[in-house]
Amino acid sequence: MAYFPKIKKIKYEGPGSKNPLSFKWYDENEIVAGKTMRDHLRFSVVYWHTFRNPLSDPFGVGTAFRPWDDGSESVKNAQKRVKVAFEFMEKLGAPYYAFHDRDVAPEGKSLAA
Amino acid sequence: MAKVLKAEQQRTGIKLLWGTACLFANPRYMHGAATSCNADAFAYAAAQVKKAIEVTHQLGGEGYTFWGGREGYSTLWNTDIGRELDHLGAFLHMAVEHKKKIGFKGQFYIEPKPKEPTKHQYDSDAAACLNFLRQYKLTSHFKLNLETNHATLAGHEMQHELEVAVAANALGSMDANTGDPMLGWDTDQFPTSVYLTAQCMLSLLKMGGFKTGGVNFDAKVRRESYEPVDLFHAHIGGMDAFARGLKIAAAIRADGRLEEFVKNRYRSWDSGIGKKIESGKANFKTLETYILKKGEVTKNESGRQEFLENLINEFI
Repeated sequence: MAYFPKIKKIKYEGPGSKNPLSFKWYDENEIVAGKTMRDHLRFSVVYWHTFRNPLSDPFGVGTAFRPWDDGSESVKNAQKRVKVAFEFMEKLGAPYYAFHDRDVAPEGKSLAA
Repeated sequence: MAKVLKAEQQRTGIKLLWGTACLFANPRYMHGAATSCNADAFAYAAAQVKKAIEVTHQLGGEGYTFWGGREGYSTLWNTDIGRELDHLGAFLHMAVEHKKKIGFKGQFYIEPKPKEPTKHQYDSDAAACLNFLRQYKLTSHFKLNLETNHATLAGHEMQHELEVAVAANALGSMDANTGDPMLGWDTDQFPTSVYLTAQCMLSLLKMGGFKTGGVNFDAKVRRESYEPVDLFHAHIGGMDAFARGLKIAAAIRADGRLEEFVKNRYRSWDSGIGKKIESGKANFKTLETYILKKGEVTKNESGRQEFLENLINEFI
């Protein structure tokens, strides 16, 4: 199933585009100084802020509205989030991601869990 | 969980840039992890990092990052800095040893940040990290992962941190974000300033590009930007800003005037007395003889800061 059903793969449309869901400058296949932009920049999405941050601050609780997340620390919820993350990164066209252990796997009752 | 991640990696071709362990959120790490006064916290952190490196290895990760969120202090009245630093050095040596043992070939990174949540973090800035790595004989095993907002918290521009790392051949990866100069904390905003991204890409191209690292968006949308589509806007903006920065940096290098200016500025070191000093063939006595004979230094030239700032603006 699609977690971002209204969003198609983000494409390069050039600086003249008024589409907020398009790239104006990043054309992954364009060669700059002997290499593609994709190979120069090696963009990476971080799991912690993009998929785990509820957007809380020291003065208030999180505001993030994430329809796919049931707010629990269950393994099922964590596994669903992986699907969301990869759909997001695929649509964005980011070749890499990074994680903290606790972002992808909830803390068990003991270290061995 | 690792199985699900691996399956999605294989389905999409998306790869793991680096993994890390969260050694700062759980209350057991209230006094730090590798630098805790509680030896059990050190042991727990070791077991956690062991597992995180193994999972990163299993997922084909190209690196592993150490960011010491609580490896610092809140007050010096209760802190033995020397002992804590020795423990951190020992911890990283154990990580290197384990990496070799399991055959993980990824790059280890250390990530500077001067404060927050602690009052002072030992990995304050690029220079402090490099000194720490040298002191504990770890330089050959680590590169730096530099974050813009951590640089500004340390009172530096990102360009400063990058150039310090490039000069030491230690720039590994970049945590791309930006702070708000009106706010004193780590706001982790998405980078949109083309001046900033052009500076980042100039330093990066100077060192020959990424080998293992990448432009990693360690950034979050604002609390008010609470809808899923905001995540897309944020990343698209960051990627476009870096794409422009790359094109600008490449154009500045192709033009060659900036590089030529800097090269020419140091030309007194290419021959004569400068060359003798650089090649180790001078000492205080020979230099005294040289300058007594010459009388006064060759006339200094303008640094041309404004000229160069205008030159950069030609490309932005």
